[in-house]
Amino acid sequence: MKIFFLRSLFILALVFFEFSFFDVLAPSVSAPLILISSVVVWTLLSGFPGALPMIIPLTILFDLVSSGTLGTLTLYAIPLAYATSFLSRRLLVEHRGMGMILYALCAAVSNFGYLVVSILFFQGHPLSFTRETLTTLFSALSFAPLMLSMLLTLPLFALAYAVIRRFEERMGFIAQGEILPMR
Amino acid sequence: MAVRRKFTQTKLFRALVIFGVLWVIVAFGPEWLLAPVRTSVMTVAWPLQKIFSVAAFESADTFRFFTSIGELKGENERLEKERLHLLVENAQFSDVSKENDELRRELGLLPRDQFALKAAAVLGRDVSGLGNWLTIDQGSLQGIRKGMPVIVDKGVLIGKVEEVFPASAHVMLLSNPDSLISGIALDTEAKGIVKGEYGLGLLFDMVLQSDTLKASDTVVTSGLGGDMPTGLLIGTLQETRFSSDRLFQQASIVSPARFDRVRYVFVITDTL
Repeated sequence: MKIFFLRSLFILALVFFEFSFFDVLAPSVSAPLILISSVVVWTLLSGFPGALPMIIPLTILFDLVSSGTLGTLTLYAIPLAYATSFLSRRLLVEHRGMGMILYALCAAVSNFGYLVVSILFFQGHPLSFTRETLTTLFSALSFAPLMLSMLLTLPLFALAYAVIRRFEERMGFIAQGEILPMR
Repeated sequence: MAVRRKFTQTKLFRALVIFGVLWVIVAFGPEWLLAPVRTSVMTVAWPLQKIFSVAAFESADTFRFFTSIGELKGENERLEKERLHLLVENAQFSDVSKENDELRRELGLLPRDQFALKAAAVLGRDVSGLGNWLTIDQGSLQGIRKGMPVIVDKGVLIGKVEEVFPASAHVMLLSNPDSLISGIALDTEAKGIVKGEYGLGLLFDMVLQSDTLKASDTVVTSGLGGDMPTGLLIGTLQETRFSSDRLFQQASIVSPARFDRVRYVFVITDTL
């Protein structure tokens, strides 16, 4: 119960840190950088099956409280987590040094992918590929905010990795304490 | 000899199943199931949002202060010239203003400054960076209702309340593609619909070909439909053109408000 409560609180804090702090601080950033980085980090730390219990509530909660259409991040996170797990197992890159930079770059590209998916499928013109729609929609993907998003992802990914790894270690410690109570 | 797993035992299959289930929930999830959850979360998280948003605005102001130090001298000179220009204009317009008030009384139009306003602070924004909406810290407990107009300064319309929770509300900005406001150009009296363009700006659309559109003309709310008071400033017309089907005229609108920098807004709760 304690672990469930702490995990729920952590997810809540992450979601509202994203759109009440980070998006207010940097309104031109075009994707939920912190949450997408968190999805990648959790997948790296816990594997695809192990990360799902955290990723799904995180993304559902975010979609619920934002005014975007329910489902953008929820649906995007599953293929993202799977792709991260697939790459990490195929490339067998260590979670340090250049390996972390590679994963951070993956998270940066994922932010761009999120925006494209969000605009194409969830912004009022789902799959309406008229010339005018595409021109309007892709004009919204202006270069400067996109580059800013991708650049900011690198330090945010490192921060998310440090925080989530610490959190998961703490949760593991608490779980052990509940299974093996010290007398 | 390696044992080959069945497809249903692979991670890919699990990912596809989970994706399918979530897609069904997203596509067919009933509003009555999700709305209470959303309302509860927004209510519980209000203090957290408040703390985060205040910290974000203070940090942004500090950052902007340091980055703008180099521009302060030029900005100061520009503002001083503008101040003098405005003083002169103000003197010229004071008589016009009195005449305007009298005419408004005679015609029964709503005085511009006779609104009941509720001040609100911004708690969050549209994550996609498209400038579609923002969250404010006033909700149904403070008398906010869906559809109330939201302004900044002394009457610049930025959007309307779209969704209300007990302690907060979502405001749909004019730049949201779902936002449709009836507007009128002041000089030429051309009527049209103000639509959002995914955060790129505003579009004055559906203007009849028989009407005249003039660049630099001011667009205000026309009050048609009854959902918005008349006379709220929307912006200034830029380039004019025909719509893609050549049936109507269009023009871009530039709003004087910076939607991405708004920190405090006012909700028009009533007209006095």
